Amino acid sequence: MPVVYDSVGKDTFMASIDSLAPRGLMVSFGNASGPVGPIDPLLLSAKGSLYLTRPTLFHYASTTAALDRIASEFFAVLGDGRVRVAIHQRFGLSEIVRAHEALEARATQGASVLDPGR
Amino acid sequence: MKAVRIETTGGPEVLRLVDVPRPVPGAGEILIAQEAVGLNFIDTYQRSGLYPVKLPSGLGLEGAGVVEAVGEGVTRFRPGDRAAYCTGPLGAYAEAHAVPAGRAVRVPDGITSELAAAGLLKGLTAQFLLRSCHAVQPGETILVHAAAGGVGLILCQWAKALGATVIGTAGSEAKAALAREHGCDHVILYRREDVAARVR
Repeated sequence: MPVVYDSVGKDTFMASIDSLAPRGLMVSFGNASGPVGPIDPLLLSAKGSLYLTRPTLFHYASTTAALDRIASEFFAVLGDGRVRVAIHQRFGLSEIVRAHEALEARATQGASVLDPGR
Repeated sequence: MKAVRIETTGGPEVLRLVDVPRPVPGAGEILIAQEAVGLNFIDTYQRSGLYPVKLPSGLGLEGAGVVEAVGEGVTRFRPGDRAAYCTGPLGAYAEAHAVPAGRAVRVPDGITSELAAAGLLKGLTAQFLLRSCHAVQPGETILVHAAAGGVGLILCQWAKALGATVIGTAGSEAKAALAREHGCDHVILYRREDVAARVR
């Protein structure tokens, strides 16, 4: 694999590293199962001169120009149907407690939104 | 207006719906009459205290709607424009929210505010992952964990559109099916299978 995108974190980190081809890129961008522990740089060497990054949107959209460029690319693929975003849950503001309970119970699928007019 | 506030961190019960004055946009800010607010897992971390926030506080980082008023010096938006944001400031769970103009983007015609509020944070994340962190090439094979998650489903579709082959992991048959519907070519059930062995 030339690249692995891993938002799971602790539970999948080693499997991700073991899935990479030499000089592959490990992108660790979330910690759904808990944060990844300390990493020894020698591990990256032993597994094939790998690259590791832990990026966040903030550093890729740090200027308004960058934000506009990233957003216009997203709106383009959303607008022409290359990417669909399925909204599976809708809540009113008064249902916010129930909404958080659903998120934490992993009882939601796709995207969830609040309708502030409800 | 109605808004959600927290006085202390804790379980979902600390979320309170209260009446507060409608904000007035300060210099460089826009006031958005919100048509939709995005819910994200990070919101629960900020509510519980895992990610510290200054209290008392509003909650929510993502929303979209119609610009109702602009503060001093704002030229980027005019009242009546549709705008969306996904990096705060905290307080999206409200009927209206004041946001720095430079942290909001214009929503094109043809994309509803609801779709913008639901997708912006996940979509911008997918964009920088697939196009900047690593520029995915046609014919390349990539591995996406949690392929049926919010960002995962966008990564699958977008990577396919870029011409990549997508291998995903998922925690259940239902999630595997959802990932496949969104363009994931091969799904590995990580609870039952050795991911690295399957990938190789």
